[in-house]
Amino acid sequence: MNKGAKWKDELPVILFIIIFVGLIILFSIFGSGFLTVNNILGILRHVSIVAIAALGVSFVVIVGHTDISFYLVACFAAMMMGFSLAKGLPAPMAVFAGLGCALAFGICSGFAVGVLKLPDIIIAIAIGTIGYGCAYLPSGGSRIYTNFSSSGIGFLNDGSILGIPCPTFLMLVFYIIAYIILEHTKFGTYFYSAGLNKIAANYSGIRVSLVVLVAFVICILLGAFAGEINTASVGNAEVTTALTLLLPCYTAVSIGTAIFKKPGVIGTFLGALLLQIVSNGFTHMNLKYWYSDLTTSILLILSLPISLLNNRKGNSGSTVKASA
Amino acid sequence: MQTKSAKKMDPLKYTLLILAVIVFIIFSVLLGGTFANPSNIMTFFRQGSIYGFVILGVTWVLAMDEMDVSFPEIAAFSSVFCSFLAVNGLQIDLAVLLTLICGALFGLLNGILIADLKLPSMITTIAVSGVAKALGNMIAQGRTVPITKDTTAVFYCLTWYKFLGIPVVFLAFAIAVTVLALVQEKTRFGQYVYAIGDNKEAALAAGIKIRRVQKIVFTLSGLFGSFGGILIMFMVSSGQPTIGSTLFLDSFTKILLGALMLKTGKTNMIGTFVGVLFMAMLVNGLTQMGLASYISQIITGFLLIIGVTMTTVIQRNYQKNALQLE
Repeated sequence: MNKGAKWKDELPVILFIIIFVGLIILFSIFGSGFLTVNNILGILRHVSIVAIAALGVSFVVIVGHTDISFYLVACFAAMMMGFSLAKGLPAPMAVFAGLGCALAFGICSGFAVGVLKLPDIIIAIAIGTIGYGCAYLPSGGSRIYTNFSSSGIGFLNDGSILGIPCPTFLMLVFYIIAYIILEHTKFGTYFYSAGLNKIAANYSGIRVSLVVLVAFVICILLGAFAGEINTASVGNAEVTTALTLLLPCYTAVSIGTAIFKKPGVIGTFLGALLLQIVSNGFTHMNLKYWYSDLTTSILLILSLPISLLNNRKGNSGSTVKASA
Repeated sequence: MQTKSAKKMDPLKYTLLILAVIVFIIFSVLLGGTFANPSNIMTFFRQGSIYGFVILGVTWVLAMDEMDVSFPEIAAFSSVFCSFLAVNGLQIDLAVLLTLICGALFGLLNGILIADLKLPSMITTIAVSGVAKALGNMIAQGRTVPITKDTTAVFYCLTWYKFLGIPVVFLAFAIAVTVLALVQEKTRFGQYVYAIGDNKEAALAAGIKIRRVQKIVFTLSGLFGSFGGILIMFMVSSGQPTIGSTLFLDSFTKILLGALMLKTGKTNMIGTFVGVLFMAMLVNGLTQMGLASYISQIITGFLLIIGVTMTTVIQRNYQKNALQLE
């Protein structure tokens, strides 16, 4: 790495800061009430849904796979949570009931991709089809309201722990744990090695199949949890609750990959934060949600070549890949 | 060697067809005349064909070992865009033509990003589908766009008319599949698609213009997505900005079930054709038995997993044997 090329290496970071600051300035000028303490706290609260789900996606991307079923399974988990509440289960139990269902799906797809080495996209379609079909099972597709407000599930979205809004607190906890695991433990390096070269990782004694399985389970569990928070914030369980997660999650991971040259925890968080600022800012400018969808897609298209550019130069780190 | 391997991997060749026949017999026994009468069969043939057009192009994308998740949103965009143009006074056939061009352009955008800039196809198409969805919503302001019935429009006839008791759209679908299957099997272009899917480096070394083939295939995918979206618009008489998410899973299930046919493990036109009709029959039969359509989703999901596992295991066994022979 020579010194002349150094500014090029920093280009994605500079670009990100310019876009980030530029958007904040734009929104503070044109949007009323964007730069207020309340709104910033609101952004930190709302970012948590996408951020948590995107954290899960990062794990799958790090091991060199893609999973497009997590958001469909999340719909099922959210419905199961609503169903458990309607059946009279206490709120924490209902949350775990939903997560338990998601766990079963996660183990299935992790086993199929990791151990049986089946193609991840086809498995994702199959698991997603089953998961989304199952989401209709509890209620036949109608919304579940029963016991919703009386069960206290709203705490998941409205409550606060140690003065921090509950979803933000949980997000921070997940991110800190994920950061410690990925950056400071041996187990974390396994994920990156599995993503770089499965055969080499296998020869160096890493049980790649298990690592991939764990990554898929983490992805689906976090996705399901994000779906449950979303459900808690909406106030009723709906089949389509998590359907919008796919695009922002992959965009967040891709932006993170572009900034740090490899998919990682902090990058994903920054990506998610940028997207939340975009959608919040557009709302403050009285623009409809599709403008922020459009911006998100364009950010994804822009971030892709940058993240690949780093990769092609032979830097370490796997990248968002179509298939293994 | 190629022909031999094709023959060796045969056991699953007609699985889906056999399965379809078995399911047909089961439904006929359980439901009797309400299911196995010509008019009902034509009903689900027609329904299936309309949704079948959407996925014709993607079949080749998957055969090329790439991914396209944008076609459902391109279909949604097309249905909205076409109805929007028609409502605003454009002659309907012209509106259809313009929409088809737009759909093809979306596909070409995919192709350029993936072939020329070498971006990963799956994430790229997620982004392009986001663009199509946002534009569709922008045009329709997030609502459905109803159109007035125009019985002279070409696509109206295509969607609703019957020829000798057979829905025209099914005939058109069958003809389209036949033509595309011939292109796939008998022309160089079709060979190229599968060669690229098998081994990109080898295809490049053999002098195949990979980028051009990729762009054509992605453009076709966008074009057929758009075509299907317009048919759906004529079927429900309105532009629907939200059909994308419902199309997504069903479409892939059909294509991937179709991959169990003929070219074991590879998506292909005839397989897609059988997959489309199989799914339409399954949904129709289950609905008549009083089961909701999500049951058929769960069933096909399991079928898919079983099918993929079987084909992969058989292919691996074959490869192992081939290595031992050498």
